Amino acid sequence: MMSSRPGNAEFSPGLVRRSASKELLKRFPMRNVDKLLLFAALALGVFGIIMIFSATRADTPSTFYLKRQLLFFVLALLFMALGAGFDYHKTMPYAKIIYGVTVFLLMVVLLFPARGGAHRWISLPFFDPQPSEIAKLAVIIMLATFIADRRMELSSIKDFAQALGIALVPMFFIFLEPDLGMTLSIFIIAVGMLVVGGATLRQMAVLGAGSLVAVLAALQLHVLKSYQLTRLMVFLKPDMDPLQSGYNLLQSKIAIGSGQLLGKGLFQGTQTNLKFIPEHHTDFIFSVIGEELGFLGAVVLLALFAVLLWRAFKIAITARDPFGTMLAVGIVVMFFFQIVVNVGMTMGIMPITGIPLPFVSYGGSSLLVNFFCIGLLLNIGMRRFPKGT
Amino acid sequence: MFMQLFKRNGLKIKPDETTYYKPDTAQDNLQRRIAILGIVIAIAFAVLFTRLWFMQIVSGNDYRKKAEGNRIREISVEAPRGRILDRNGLVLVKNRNALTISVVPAEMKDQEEAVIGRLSKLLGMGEKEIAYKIEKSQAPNRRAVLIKSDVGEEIVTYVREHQREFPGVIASTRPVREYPYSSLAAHIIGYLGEINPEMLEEKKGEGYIAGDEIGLSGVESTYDEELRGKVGKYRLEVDAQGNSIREISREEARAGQNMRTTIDQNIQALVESSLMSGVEIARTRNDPEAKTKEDIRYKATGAAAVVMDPKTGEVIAMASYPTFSLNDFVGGISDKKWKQLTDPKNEYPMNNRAIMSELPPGSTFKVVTALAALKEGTYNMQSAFDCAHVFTTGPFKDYPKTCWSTHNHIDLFNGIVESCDIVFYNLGLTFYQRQGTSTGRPLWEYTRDWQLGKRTGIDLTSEMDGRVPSPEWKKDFNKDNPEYQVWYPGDTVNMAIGQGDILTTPLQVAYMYSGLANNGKFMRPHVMKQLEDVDGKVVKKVQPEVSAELQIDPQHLNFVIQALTGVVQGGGTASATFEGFPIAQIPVAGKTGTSEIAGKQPTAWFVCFAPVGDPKYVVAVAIEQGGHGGEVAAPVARRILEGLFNIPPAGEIRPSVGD
Repeated sequence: MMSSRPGNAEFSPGLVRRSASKELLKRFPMRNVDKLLLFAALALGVFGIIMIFSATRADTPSTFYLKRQLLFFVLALLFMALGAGFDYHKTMPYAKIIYGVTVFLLMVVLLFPARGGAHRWISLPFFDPQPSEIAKLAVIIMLATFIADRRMELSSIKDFAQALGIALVPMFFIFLEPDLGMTLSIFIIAVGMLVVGGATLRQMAVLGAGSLVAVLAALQLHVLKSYQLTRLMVFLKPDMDPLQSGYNLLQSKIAIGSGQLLGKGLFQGTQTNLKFIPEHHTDFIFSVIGEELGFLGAVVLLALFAVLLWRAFKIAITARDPFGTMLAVGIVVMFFFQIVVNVGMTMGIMPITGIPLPFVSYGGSSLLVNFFCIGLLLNIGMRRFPKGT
Repeated sequence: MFMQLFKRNGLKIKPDETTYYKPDTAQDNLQRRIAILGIVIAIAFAVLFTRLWFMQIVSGNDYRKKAEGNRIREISVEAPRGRILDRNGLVLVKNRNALTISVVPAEMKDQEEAVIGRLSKLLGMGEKEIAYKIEKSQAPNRRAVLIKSDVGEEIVTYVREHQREFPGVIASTRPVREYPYSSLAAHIIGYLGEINPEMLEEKKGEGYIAGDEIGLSGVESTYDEELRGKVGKYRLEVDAQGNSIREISREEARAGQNMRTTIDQNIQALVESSLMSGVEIARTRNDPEAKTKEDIRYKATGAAAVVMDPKTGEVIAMASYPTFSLNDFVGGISDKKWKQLTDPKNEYPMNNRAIMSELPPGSTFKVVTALAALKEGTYNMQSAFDCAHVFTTGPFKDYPKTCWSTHNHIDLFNGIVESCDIVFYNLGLTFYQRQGTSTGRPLWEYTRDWQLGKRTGIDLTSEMDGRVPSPEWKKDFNKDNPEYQVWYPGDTVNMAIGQGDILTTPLQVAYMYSGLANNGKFMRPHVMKQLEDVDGKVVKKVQPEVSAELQIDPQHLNFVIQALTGVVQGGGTASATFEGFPIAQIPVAGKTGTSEIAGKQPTAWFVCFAPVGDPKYVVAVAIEQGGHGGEVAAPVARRILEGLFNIPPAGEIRPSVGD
């Protein structure tokens, strides 16, 4: 390959050095990094840190959440570097190991004591990781590998079923935690990847019908706990649960609506400061943004997300190979689903599912995983050119 | 080596191979598939944007208001109502600070049941009763609903120390009414209760809000606006748990104006006790017309008495029997008590019979007939009659009417003194004959001159109109029964003795006689004398008001009054009762009455004024289903007169047998 390049440097030591450094630079893919994507992700992270501080200032100590989120943010930047720092193709051979370990962790987490009625966290001294956060990424990597391995042809029933199975196994364990939001996340990620990955229309139709049957069966057999069902349905009928989830939803809507065009000002949200908004630093952080920064602030936030998704899209399309494309598509769907469900929930047009707002909500696991995913996207984007050309 | 195993494991292609697999057709296909995803995402973002627009820009103001409602809690501090005093400044109603337990329903939130349970144990009240009070209350959610008044100090301390277990429960002092004499003048004073939705609708413009305590009867109702004062308002910022964060504004409560009434506390007490003993005496007597053994005694189901000053219209005392205790209403009346008070078996103790009972005035009305006949000139002061117990003149040949006695030769003067019905049947029949030929004024017009058939306009609520019958009235009253519309001779003749369709309240009868006592000048009856602010400055003073002036020939007036003085002496119908009364010093002009209502025992009436010449008081007494006026009503009036004129009370008062 090298030999095909013009200007053989063997005879010119000066040129060799210059050319070598140039070569090095050329081969070092950092120069192709998607700066807009990087900017959007960092801006969202900082946005989140500020809003988390606004939401939790009244707690004691007032900077507890701020400090932790800052620390996670720094760690997340390392994770992003990690995600970008190696050739993403190298993950393909490890996909099965990553997937296997993740499923194992999903089983292990069920043995840990429940918190708030759910076994979601593995208790460690400083930090309690949420294996389901990793599971999303593991499913994306595994599915991307699987689809790429089949050259984006899933037309055989066996391949389609296997691909679906990759998603269903972790979904099953996460559903047991229980974490309905995360279960749905993985399902939607899988659907998105199957659509792009070559599933036929008929296969998708069968999948759609099958999910419908599964949902009806679940309702009929009371697989869902009543509180889960209530939370899912309450956005359609807020008086269903006026004191709990209905109240939360109402207060969230009041917060956002009362923000009006310019908001009440950073740190000035009455709904936030007087604790009318529940979970204001995690699931309902968007309500705080809507209240304090108003329509303008909320639109800026959505615009940042739009930029992020747009750039991620571009990376998916321009990726060098199916694996890169599928990886990027999985990540895009993951972000998209979380954004829409979370923001929609705070405004009462989506069910309450406990899905955090990516990059913005407080929470270590999701921040680390999300920035790692940004790292991967940058990785795919900057390695889009065939080697040496 | 171990890694090597995995690197190859299961993959059909080497990782690097993928680099070269990207045919153009696949790329097209891929772009199409990704575009589907892109469209979905774009639509979703558009939906979020639109929703945001609607919430923040279109409905932003509504949400802003809701957020303010969340954040701001208004605490109302009840203002003490004005005190109510008697004419001499003695306290009839005052306030005291009661330790109370109240509940702000909105702040109990989901813990309502648990909190009610704890309160129930603490206060010794049923959970249902507490829940009922909360539910029944019209108060807006952020206003405290009174649960129990006059709780022990230890309960207040307990609630304050365990506030966490009692979210939304407020232990505080609040001014409540105190009635030192419990039932004294209960009907004049009136009771308080929470404003109901209809009243609220009506009074919204006057600053009333749901949850307000409002006077529901008596002067508490008539003068509620003056008495109520102004509720204090503290606006606090609260968090989601209802903890107050800071005070936003404060408006202090202002006490209501104190009211001095025209009532004399001592006279009122005397009138009430006299009336009650009158009722008790009536109940020991036998009704000669009783048809069954159970009905042998007079039932005396209700009674009323009014004492007023004919020259000013001031009501010195007004009593109604049966009565009730105002203290039952302090802190909200209990369900059980309320049921008792509204049970028909108990004859509606809350009704002020002095202004609400509509009864035929009976013979007390005869003065009106006599003066009307004299004015018309159809009879004169010397006119003579024959009373042979039965009246069969003209159309009454086939429907004879009777007198309660047989008076033989009798003139108009003695017709009043001895209350001879035959005399007045004659007067009535003449009125009937003249009204047929449209000569002279009909009797019902004279009756209206005496302010009957309409409210006196006293400053108390629920006053009834009474009724003056006339052919027009009869036609209208029997709209649906044409056969009952005919005005018969008996209609005028009955009216001449205060019977038939004519109805009056005890106050109207007192008012009629104050007009008589005051030379035809009717002074509007009232119970409010003046309003004073907290510093004692007079804010408003009621001036005596002439509501009507009647031209009466002084000779006729004198004639009638002379006849009335005869009632309480010599052969008068109340002479036995007034035996021993110092008539010479305090001349009394009075009239007995016994009025019949179909299906009921007769109502006993006595109305009088004294001293004749310079009348200071008019006293009217009515005892429903109590028997004859001379027998039971006149003795009550005498007791009252003794009190009014400081005459040492005679031991046993004799009933008179008169009608």
